[in-house]
Amino acid sequence: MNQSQEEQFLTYYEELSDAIFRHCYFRLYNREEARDLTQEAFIKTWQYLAGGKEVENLKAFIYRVANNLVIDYVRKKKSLSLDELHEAGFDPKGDDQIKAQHAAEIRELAQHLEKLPDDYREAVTLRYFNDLMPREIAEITGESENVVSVRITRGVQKLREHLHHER
Amino acid sequence: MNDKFEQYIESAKRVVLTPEEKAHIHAALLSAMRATRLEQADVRVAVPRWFRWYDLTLHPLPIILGLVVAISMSTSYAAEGTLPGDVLYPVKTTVNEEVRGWFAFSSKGQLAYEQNIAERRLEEAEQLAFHGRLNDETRAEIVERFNERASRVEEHIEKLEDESAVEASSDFEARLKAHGAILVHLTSKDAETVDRMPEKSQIVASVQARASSTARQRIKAEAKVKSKAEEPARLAAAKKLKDAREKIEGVRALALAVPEQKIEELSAPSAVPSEGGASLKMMAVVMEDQAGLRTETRLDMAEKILEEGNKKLETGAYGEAFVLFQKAQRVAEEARLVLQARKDFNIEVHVDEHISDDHDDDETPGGEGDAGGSPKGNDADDAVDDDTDEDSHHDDADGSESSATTTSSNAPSEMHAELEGLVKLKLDQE
Repeated sequence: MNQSQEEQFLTYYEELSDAIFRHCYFRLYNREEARDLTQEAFIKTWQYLAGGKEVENLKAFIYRVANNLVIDYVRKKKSLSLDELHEAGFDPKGDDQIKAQHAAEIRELAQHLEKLPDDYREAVTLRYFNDLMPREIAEITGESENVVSVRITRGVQKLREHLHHER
Repeated sequence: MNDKFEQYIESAKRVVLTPEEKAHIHAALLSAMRATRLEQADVRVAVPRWFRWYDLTLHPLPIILGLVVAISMSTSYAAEGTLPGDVLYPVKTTVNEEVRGWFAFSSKGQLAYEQNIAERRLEEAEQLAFHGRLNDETRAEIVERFNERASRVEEHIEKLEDESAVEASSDFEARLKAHGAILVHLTSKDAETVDRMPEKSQIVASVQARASSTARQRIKAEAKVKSKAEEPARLAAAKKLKDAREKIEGVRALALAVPEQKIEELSAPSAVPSEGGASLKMMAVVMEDQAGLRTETRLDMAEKILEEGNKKLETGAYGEAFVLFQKAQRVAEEARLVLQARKDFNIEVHVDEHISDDHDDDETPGGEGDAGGSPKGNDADDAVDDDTDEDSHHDDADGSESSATTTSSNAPSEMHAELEGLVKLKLDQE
C-alpha cells in the first residue's frame, strides 16, 4: 500500500463515512456504537486491502463489512428491540447532534422500521436514507437486483400501511 | 402520507457524523495505515502487484525476471545464515538485505527495516561470540555496519511524531538493551581467558551508547505525549493497552516453553566495560539473591506498570497511560529477548531496567548508588513527573527507600529501589 492508495482510501472515507454511519445508526440506534462500528468497518477494510487482497467494488465491500460488524455486535448483545433500547435510554432527543425537530421523527421512524422484516428494513434504509440504487444494494446484500427491488417496494408499502394506521 | 414519508427520509439523512467524529475516525484510520505500513515492513518480502502467476503467461519480462530470481535465490538463500567472515556474507548484506529495503516504502516502513537489520548485526555478533569466532576483523565489521543502521534508525525516529516516536524508540531501545546485556555476557566469557577486554567490549560499548541515545529520543517523545488528554489520545492509549497485554501474554506463553535454568548457572559478567555494565553486575548479584527476579517477575512488573497505566486511563490522563503501556510492552519485549538468549545460548542475562527509565547520560556516574532511582536532571521526565506527583504513592514495603520522586508512573524506579535495597542487604550480610 503506497501513499496514493492511502490517499485514495481516505477520499473514500470522506465520501462514504456518513452513509456507513447512518447505516449502522439505523440498526443500533446508538450514536456511539454506530460511530465505533463505522470506524472499525473502515479500518478492517483497509487492513484487508493492505493484506494484498483485491476488492472489486469498494463501496459495497465497506457496507458488507459494516453489516457483518453490526450483526456480530447485535449477536453479542443478544437483543436490540426498540423497547429494550428505550429502556436502555434510546432517545434521539438526548443525542445532542440531532436537532429536536428531527429527533421526534427519527424516533417515530425507528418504531415503524422496527415493524418491518429485517430484509425489507435494510433494503428501504439503503435505498432511501443512503440513496443507493437497487443494483448497488444487491451487491451489498448478495441478493439479485430483482429481489432487492421487490423488498424495497414491499417495504415501502408496509411502511405506508403503518403510517396509514397511525392516522 | 407521502409527505410524511419524505419527511422521515429527510430526518434520517440528517443523521451524520459531526466534524469532530469524522476527524476522530480519520485519525484512527491514519494510525491503522501507519501500523499496516510497519507490519508490511516487518514482513519485508511482500510480493509486488505485478508479480502474479497469470502475468507470467502473458509477459516475457516477468518470466526472465523469474528465472533470474530462481537462479539467484539459491545463492541468496544460502547466504541468509552466514556470519561476518563467511564467503557469502556480503551477499546477505548487500543483496538480500538491500532488496528487502526496496519493499519498505514509507518512513515508518524504512524505520522497521533499518531496525531489523541493526538487530541482525547484533544477533550475528552474539553468534560469533558464542562460537568463539569474534576477532578484530569481524568485530570491526559488525560495529561499523551496526552503527550505520542504528544512525538511520535514529534519523527515522526523529521524523516520527508523538505516539509513533515513543513506540519506535521504545521498541528499539528494548532490543538494544537486551542485546547489549546478552553481548556483555557472551563477550565477558572470552575476556576471562584473553585479556583484551577493551576491544572485546567495542560492540557492547556501541550498543550501550545507542541504547542511551534511543532512550533520550524516547524520553523526548514521551514528554510530548504525556500531556495529551483528548479523544485521539484515549484511543491510542486503549490500542496500546491491548498491544501491551498481548505482548505480555505472548511472552508468558514463551516462558512456559523455555524453562528457566538452575540458579547456579546465573553469573555476573566477570568484567564490565562501562557503568552500564557495572549496573548489570549489580543486578546479577541481586538475581543470585532472589531467583524470582526473572522472566516471571519481569512480566509481573510489566503487568504492574499496565495497572498503573490503567489508573491513568481512568483519570483521563491518556498520554501518561500510553507511555506506561508502552513501558510495559518494552519490559515484556526485553523479557522475550532474555528468553530467546536462554534458548539460543543457554545463558541467563538480566536486562538493566535502570538504563531505560532513570538514565541520564550527562550525569550517569554514581547513578547506581542513588537509592530511589530518582530521575536526576532529566528535564523531560521531571516536567511530566511533576504533574503526577499528586498521584504518588508507595505501595511496597521498601517505599521509604524511595524519595518523593517515586511516583505511581515510575514503577521501574520502584523496582530499581527494591533492587538497590536487596544489594545493600547482601552487602550488609557480607
